[in-house]
Formats: sequence, structure tokens, C-alpha cells
Amino acid sequence: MNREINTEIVSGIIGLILTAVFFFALEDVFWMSLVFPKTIVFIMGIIACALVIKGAVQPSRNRIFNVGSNVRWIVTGILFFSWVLIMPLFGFFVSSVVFITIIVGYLAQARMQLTIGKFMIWIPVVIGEVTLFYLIFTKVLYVPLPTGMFF
Amino acid sequence: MLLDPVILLSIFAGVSAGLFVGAMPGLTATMALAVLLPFTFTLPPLHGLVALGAVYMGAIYGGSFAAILVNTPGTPSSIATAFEGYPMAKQGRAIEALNIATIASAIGGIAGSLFLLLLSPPLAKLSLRFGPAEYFWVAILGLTLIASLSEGSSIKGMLGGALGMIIGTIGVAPIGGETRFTFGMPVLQGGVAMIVALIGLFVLPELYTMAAKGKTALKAIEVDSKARSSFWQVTKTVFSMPGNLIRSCIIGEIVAIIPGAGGNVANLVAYNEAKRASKHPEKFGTGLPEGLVATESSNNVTVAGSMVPLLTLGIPGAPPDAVILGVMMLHGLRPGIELFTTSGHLTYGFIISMGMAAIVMVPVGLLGSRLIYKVIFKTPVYFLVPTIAMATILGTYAVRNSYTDVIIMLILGTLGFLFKQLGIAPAPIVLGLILGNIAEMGYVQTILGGQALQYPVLKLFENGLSHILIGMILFSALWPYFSSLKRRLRSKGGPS
Repeated sequence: MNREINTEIVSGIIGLILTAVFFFALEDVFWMSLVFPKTIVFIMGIIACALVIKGAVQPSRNRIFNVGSNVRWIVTGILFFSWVLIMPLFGFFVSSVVFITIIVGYLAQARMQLTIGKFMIWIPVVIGEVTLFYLIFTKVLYVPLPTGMFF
Repeated sequence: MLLDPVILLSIFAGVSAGLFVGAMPGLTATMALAVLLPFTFTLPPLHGLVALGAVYMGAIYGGSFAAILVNTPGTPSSIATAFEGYPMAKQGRAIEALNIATIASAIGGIAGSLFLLLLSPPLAKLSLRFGPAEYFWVAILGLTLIASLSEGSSIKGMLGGALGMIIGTIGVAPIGGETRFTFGMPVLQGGVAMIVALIGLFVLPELYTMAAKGKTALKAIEVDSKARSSFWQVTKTVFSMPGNLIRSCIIGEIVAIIPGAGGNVANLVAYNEAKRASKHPEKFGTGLPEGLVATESSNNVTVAGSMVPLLTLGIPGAPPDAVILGVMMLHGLRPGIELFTTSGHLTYGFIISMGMAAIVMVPVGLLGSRLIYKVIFKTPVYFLVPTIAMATILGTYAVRNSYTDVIIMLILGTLGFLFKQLGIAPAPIVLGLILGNIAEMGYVQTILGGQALQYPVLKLFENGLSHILIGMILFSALWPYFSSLKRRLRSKGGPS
């Protein structure tokens, strides 16, 4: 994925796809609710076309996804989504302790050898951290966090 | 009366609590005020108002901490702070950046209180002249900032701005009340909250980058020399740009008196004007104190500035002001001229206490900045990433107690990271989202008001204030071209 592409053409094409998505989602509503989004959809289409034309006339290539390990950000993203998706099932506290520990372990293995001893140190730290946030949000700020089957 | 130890303690505690809340992405000043509101019920009116004013001031300032240290604006008022503050932190100048933000915020807070003290009546009259058409033009004026907020290509910035405006129209229309772009999903009827998009677009890309970089992410380069980041040196740096300070404070005050446009707009406008007025605009975005001074002074001016329409007309200039209005009503204080006459001791006491809160921000901020800096930079990245993610998830959830908001934040953040790879920066998207709503309300209300005319759209061009704003838009949009033309002509005429 760490390669050079014409970002203007790619951005323009994405813009055109988004324009099409929002254009066809324009429902049959009264003009007051429609006039502004319709105008913006057209403007977005024009800008996207301009980007494609500019990319074709003055092609310039830029390197993308060169921030570091692509596998690491993709796996971290998947873990974030999984964490949030299982939250209604297991509750905020349990899912956070589990997923923070997994993410800590995953990111730490890039710089050190993982051992059970390290997890024995990390897990209490993670539990303490999650407990602190949990108490602040539920007892001080009165935010009803997802409880799931636990709390 | 303001030197009463209980009042001084209220200011100190309020600023500290506000700073903590503001530094947490997702926790807004409004939320902090709403949470602390019940604690003021038992206090005398002045004590309650002083504590809430201090929390408000501290929260707006606290937003700069997260913006500088992890490139995540703690509140929407510190979006532009990240543009200069984070590059400074990456160069190992985090303490210097935090101290500049502290001094600039304090100056902004004091200036805002002085403006409020001296200029309330005439400014209130000006704010009354803003109708729907003027709001529309103010939003368009704000959108001209996209060119400066775009990293590289301004067309990509415009695409981002348009996308932000479209995202802002998802859900129930502000006028008409019909749903748009819900794609058959009832959960989207509530729309995308601005703060949710802000958190997603700014925080997640940074977390993905940290995860991808691993141990090289957020590596503190120890060049933060004590000499450069010392209180006196930083104060000297801030005061060495009086023009920038005065301009940013005036911008903050003007934006603040327009109800609905608070620190989130003021910081971007002030940043843009600082860049335009600078002798080296090309260096903006690389860690320039000028940009930091502009954003932090302007957003703290809006704290007291937004009280102008509140105290004189009873119109909350920004959402946190609504909470303060609630406290005033609770104590039987009605906004208007009586507030400055029969309840003058209370009103003037409250105004002066905000200036005092701004002064208290200096010691609290200087101590807090070192502590937070150490916590962030000494924590290993593998712990920092999931911790920030948890704070982000909690902050997003707490906005409306909505699980859907958390999913939206994750999706927007991931898309934001992918867009960033293509050169579409998150700032124009957020700007489109903020200003799109203001523009839509202004536009549709104006057209509705102009139904009696043959061409209702002409209502947009009807009065003098609109003409002034249109002139400012043209100036703002065309200035970059004039300035580059001027530079080209100068280089042709120069020694060759």
C-alpha cells in the first residue's frame, strides 16, 4: 500500500462517488429542507470534477500510507471497532479491560518480547485506569454507560 | 467582596476543574457547567456565578493541552491551536507551546472581561442588527478560511468543506423538520453532532498514526530548553507581537457577540488573519508561536465576549452561556439594563471575576502543563493509544448518551485517516460542518422572509451590514491572489 498514486484523480473519483450517493439519497421533501443540501451536492460534484480534470491535466504523484506499519494501524482499527461493537454485550467496563489489554499487548510486541510477567503488571494498571474513568463518568458525571450482561 | 477567600477558592477550583474537562477530548465547557450547576444551587448568587465563569474560562483554555500534545482539540475552540501547537510539540517545544497558550489565553480572558465591562451596551446594539441574511454571510466569510486550512491543494480543501456541509445536513432539517440523508436508518435522524465529528476526524487519524509508527511516535526530543520555555521568555515572545494580540482579541470579541458563533469560529478566523498578516505565511503550520497566540487569545476573549448578548439581551451567545443564564434566572436575575443598575454589584462582580479567573489560569496552567506533558510523553505509546481511545469513546458517548455516536465517530475517524492520506485535511471538513448549519439556517430563513419579493434571493443583499460582509468575503477570497500577484511583480522588479 506504500506506493505513489495520483491523489487528485483518486480524491476526485471518491468525491464523485460521494456526490452520486448523496444525490440519489435526496428524498422527495419540501423545498425548505431540500434547497441547501441540493446546492451543496451540486457544488461537491463540480469540485470533484475539477479535481479529476486537474489530476489529468497536471498529473502529480504522491506517496500514501507511509506513516509506518500499515498492518499495525489496520489491526488497531479492527480492535477499536470490535471493542465498541461488543460493548453493548459485555458492558463498558469488561469490554474496555479486555480490549485495552489486547491493544497494549499488540502494540507492545513491536518493541519487546511479550511475557506473562509483563501482562501481570499491565492488567492491574489497565483495571485501575478503566475503574478511574468508569467512576468519573458514572458517579461524578452521571453518564449511563453501556452495562451489557455485567455492569 | 471579590477578595473573599471563598470566592478566590471558587475561582481556583473552577479554573482547575475547567482545565481538566477542557483537556479531555469530547468533554465540552457546556458539559462541565451543566455538571457543576447543582453545586451552585446552595451558594449565594455571586459565588455560584463566579465558580461557573471560572469553569468556563478554564475549559476553553484546557482545550489547548490536548491540541498541543496529541493533536486533538480538547474543545472546538482550539481546532487551530493544533495547527501550530502540535508541530511545536513534535519539535520538542511542547512546554514552550503550552506556556505560550497559557499567557495568550490569560491575555484573551482579561481582554474579554474588559470589553464586556466597557462595551456591553454598544456591542449589544450591534448584535441586534444581525438577521438571517447576515448569519448566512458570516458563515460564507468563515468558509473562505478553507483555503488557508487546506494542507497543500485548496481544491481538496474545498471538497472537504463541501463534504463537511453535507454531513452537517444529515438528519432532521433545522427549518422544515423533514429528515435528509438518513439512508433508511432511523438512528441517523439525530444527525451527526459536531463534537462527534470533531473527535473522530482529529483523534482517530492521530491514534492510527501513533499505532503505525510504534515506538517512534510522540518521541520527545529534549530540546525544550528552559531558557526558551521559561515564563519570562514566553511572556516576552507573546508581547513581542502586539498587533497580532490586539487583532485576535478584536476578532474574538466581534465573533463572540454574534449568538451561535463562539470560540469555535473565532479561533479559525483569528488564525487565518494572523497568517494573512504575517510576513512569512508559508511558515504557518510548521510550529509558529504567532498562530498559537492568535488562536488562544481569540478563543478566550469569546468567554466573556459571549456574555454581552446574554447580560444585555438575554440571548446566550454560546451553549455554555445558556447554563449561566439558567443560574441567573434561578436567582431571580433578569438580563437587561436592570442587571447593570439594581444588581450592578453582582453583574460587575461576575465580570471582574472572569478577569481574575484569566489571571489564575497562569499559575494553574504553568504547573498543570508540566504535569500533563510528563504524563503524556513519559507514557509508552502502547498504553497511550488505548487510553486516548477510551477517553475518546467515553467523551463521544457522553455528548448525547448515544452508542450510535460512538460508531459514527469511529467511521468518520477512519475515513478521516484515509482522506488525510489523499491530502484532504480534517480541518476543512469540520469547518464545513460548523458553518454549514449556520449558513443553511440563515439562507432558508432569509428566503422565507423574502417570499413577498419577485426574487426572494435578493433579500440576501438587502441591507448595509450584508454589503459590508460581502465586501469582507470578496477581500478574504481574493487576497491570496492579490498577494501572490504582488509578490510576483516584486520579484520581477527586484534585483535580477
